[in-house]
Amino acid sequence: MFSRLRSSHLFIIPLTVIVLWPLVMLASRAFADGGAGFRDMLALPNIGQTVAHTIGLAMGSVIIAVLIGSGLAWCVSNSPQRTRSWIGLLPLLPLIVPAVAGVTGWIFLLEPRTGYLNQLLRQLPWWNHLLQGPLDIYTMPWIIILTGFTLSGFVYLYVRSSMQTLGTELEAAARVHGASPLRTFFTVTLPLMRAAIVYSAGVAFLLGIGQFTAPLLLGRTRGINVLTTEMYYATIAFPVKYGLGAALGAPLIIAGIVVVVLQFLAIGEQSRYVVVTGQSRHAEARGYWFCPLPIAAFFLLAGVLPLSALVLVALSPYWSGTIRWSTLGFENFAKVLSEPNALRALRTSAIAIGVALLIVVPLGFFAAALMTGAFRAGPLVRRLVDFLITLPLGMPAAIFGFAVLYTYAGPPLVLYGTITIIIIAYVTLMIPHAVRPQLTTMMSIGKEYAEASRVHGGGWWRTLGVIQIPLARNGVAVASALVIVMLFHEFAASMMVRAAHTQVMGTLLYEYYTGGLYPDVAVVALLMVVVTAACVFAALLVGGTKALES
Amino acid sequence: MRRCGIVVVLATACVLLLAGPMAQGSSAPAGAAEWAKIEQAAEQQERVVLYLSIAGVEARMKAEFRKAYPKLQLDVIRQPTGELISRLDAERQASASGADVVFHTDRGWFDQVANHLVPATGPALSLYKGTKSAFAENRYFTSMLVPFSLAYNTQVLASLGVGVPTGWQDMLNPKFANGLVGLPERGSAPVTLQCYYAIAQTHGMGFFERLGKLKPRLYPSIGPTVQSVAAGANAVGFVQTAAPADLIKAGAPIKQMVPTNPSCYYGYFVAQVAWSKRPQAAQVLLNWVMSRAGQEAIHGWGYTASPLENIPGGLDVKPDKPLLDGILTPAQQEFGRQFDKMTR
Repeated sequence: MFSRLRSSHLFIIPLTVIVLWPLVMLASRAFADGGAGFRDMLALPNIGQTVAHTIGLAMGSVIIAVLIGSGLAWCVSNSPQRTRSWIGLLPLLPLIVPAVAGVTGWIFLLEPRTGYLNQLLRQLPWWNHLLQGPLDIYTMPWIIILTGFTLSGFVYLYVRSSMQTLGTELEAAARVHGASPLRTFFTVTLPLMRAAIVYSAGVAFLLGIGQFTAPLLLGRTRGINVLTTEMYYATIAFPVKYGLGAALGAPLIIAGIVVVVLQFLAIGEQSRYVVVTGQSRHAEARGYWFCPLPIAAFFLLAGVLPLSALVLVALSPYWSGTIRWSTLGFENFAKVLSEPNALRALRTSAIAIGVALLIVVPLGFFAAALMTGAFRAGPLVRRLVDFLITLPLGMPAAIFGFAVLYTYAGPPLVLYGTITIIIIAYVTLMIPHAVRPQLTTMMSIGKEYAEASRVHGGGWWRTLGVIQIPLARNGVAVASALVIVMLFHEFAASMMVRAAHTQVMGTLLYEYYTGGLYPDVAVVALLMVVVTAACVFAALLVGGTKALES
Repeated sequence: MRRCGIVVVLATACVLLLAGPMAQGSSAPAGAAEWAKIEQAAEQQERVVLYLSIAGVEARMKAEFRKAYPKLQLDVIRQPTGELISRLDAERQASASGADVVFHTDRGWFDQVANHLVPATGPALSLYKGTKSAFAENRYFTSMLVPFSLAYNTQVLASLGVGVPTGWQDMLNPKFANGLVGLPERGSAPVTLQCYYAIAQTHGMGFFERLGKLKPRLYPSIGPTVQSVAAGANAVGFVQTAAPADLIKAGAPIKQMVPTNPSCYYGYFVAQVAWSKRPQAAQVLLNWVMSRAGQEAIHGWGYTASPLENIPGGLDVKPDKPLLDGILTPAQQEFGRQFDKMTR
């Protein structure tokens, strides 16, 4: 009996413990005590408004993200040929700015009275009578817009990738037959992109419904809450309201499952969207001159503007709407970099990310190997592994953070206040991202080399060391870079599992933010951007521009 | 040489073993020799962690403590009182490493966890023992008195053509509509809610209804409130006297006044937690905060007051009524719910 128990079966056990166990614990907690958590949830003041905000944020940000992301992808595909390769990277660069840093930058830009951009807008003749505004960052529309900006990069990636696969022959044919660019877009491009748009909209919806950063930083001043911020408030109550948090998370878990199913139904058979294409690369060589303009505008809005605001505040002695150039200096950088708390947060981030990387990349490697058939496993095992590694993608990070806190903070393990609990949350969240690049690499390699090794007497370990790992090293490198970048950006789950003494960079930034230390906030945000940019640069060196898209 | 090292380790272990139970069980001041041993053991622990909820004093405390104990690094974790006590209780339940000494405003929390606080034994205990500043059999102490104040941005007031505020009622100026008044959330600290309640008692509930119509901006704590006033995002802000000090020093166009209609004074309490992983370092820090030297270092800048008399430079405070203690009555809790409805 035990001889049938392969290593692939044993692999499922840790994967299940890491991914499924916290969610099962959380779901059971939601229904414990006769559903007390749900009763507490319904007793929350303004819970109806909170749910409405959550849905509004998800729907609104998806619409913005799909419009911007798809538009950018179309613009890149239709830019003049000679600019296309580098201009295609511009929509991705704002992703280097962590959401928490980006939102902070926008606060400095659009604070109604002192925001730099608002002050500029008040110079315009039709707004020069205003004392504040015209824009107010602390409102629901701006929470939606900024979330939409963040998510548009993800939509762009999916749609752009789909467009590259589909080619441009059909569009070219439509134009040859006299269709205007607009008509070509609506009758040819858009229908072909449906699958990519629906899929990316689903992903954006899941990310939107679990959004935490913008609602927490912007909504708190006006009492605008979403389900994830209410979950966070449940963690900072004493005693921690696990039942309430679990109940608040339940609709998000259900939404995740529903969206995945809806996506499947809407896209249906993938083959319906296949285009027979041969030489798509040269088909649309000319492009439109105006296409780079919206891309540059997006890059300016989503990347350059918030970063510039952060730089200005980081160099100022205190946050002020008035820029005094003579007072700018690097004192805040020196102060933050000599702060034990900042250094400890940097250290905690490095340890948590490093250990998580050492766990999750090999885990991803084995999962990818199983799914490509490089390691033998039955179809049921492969399907189960596929399910377990996909599950974290469908759940908001805040949910996993809360679930990990509930499962591991108390007895028997009592991991509250340790780096271990942060590592567990990170590993759980990063499994899909560690698998995907390695899976892509392994699929391109195929399983023939591994089979040949085995036929020639190579054992399991020898095949792994001599064949599999060397061939997959590119995927391993890209997965590592991706995990480092995403974990350095991670905020929602970290906020749930951190303790006062185990801050990471993102939570330290929030700590400074709630303490009103705005120049320090800007310094930490810029540090996060610099570290992320360095990781992306390293990934580009190893994996080329494809690494950035991964 | 090696034997010498072993002797030092054994001696240190003996000191640690002796000092630990002493700290837990006795509230009598330690003798000079005994205290010297505790200080020696503390220095070997290298660092001590203070959980602090007041803005504006952190840098001064660190600098002055370093002068007194150069070998002992003071790490400060600063959060609003409300969030701080949640973290503290989570640490207590998990026996997790974190705070050694706590310094915040919620006296209700100190009373609730009094059995998990270590009675003071340092030489400074004699300054407090038997006074109204010592509580729960010398387990926690008043260490700071602060009045709530009204901070205002001089440039914003000038641009609006509004005069310097003279009391809480000046927050209701219609020119402060659409977010020009900054308030810390009522949950940021129970004493904040108690002061809001006191204002409502004096001016009637209509005060906060009218304030709510001006759409005040709520912040997680006093820190961002005062920073927003300094930046000009708010014209006036509900703060405490220590909060604007650094900004005034940095040249920000911010001033403050202490309203007396009503006045709201509150205390900061200090204690050593029993789950501290650095008990001797915690004893040393607690003693330093309570001592005259510590009180002079903390209050000498003139923005806060000491419970000890004749502290040079300390804010001259004569509270006209009992200090706000952070222990919320049912009426205050109900007012808190009303406050949320009126201001959000």
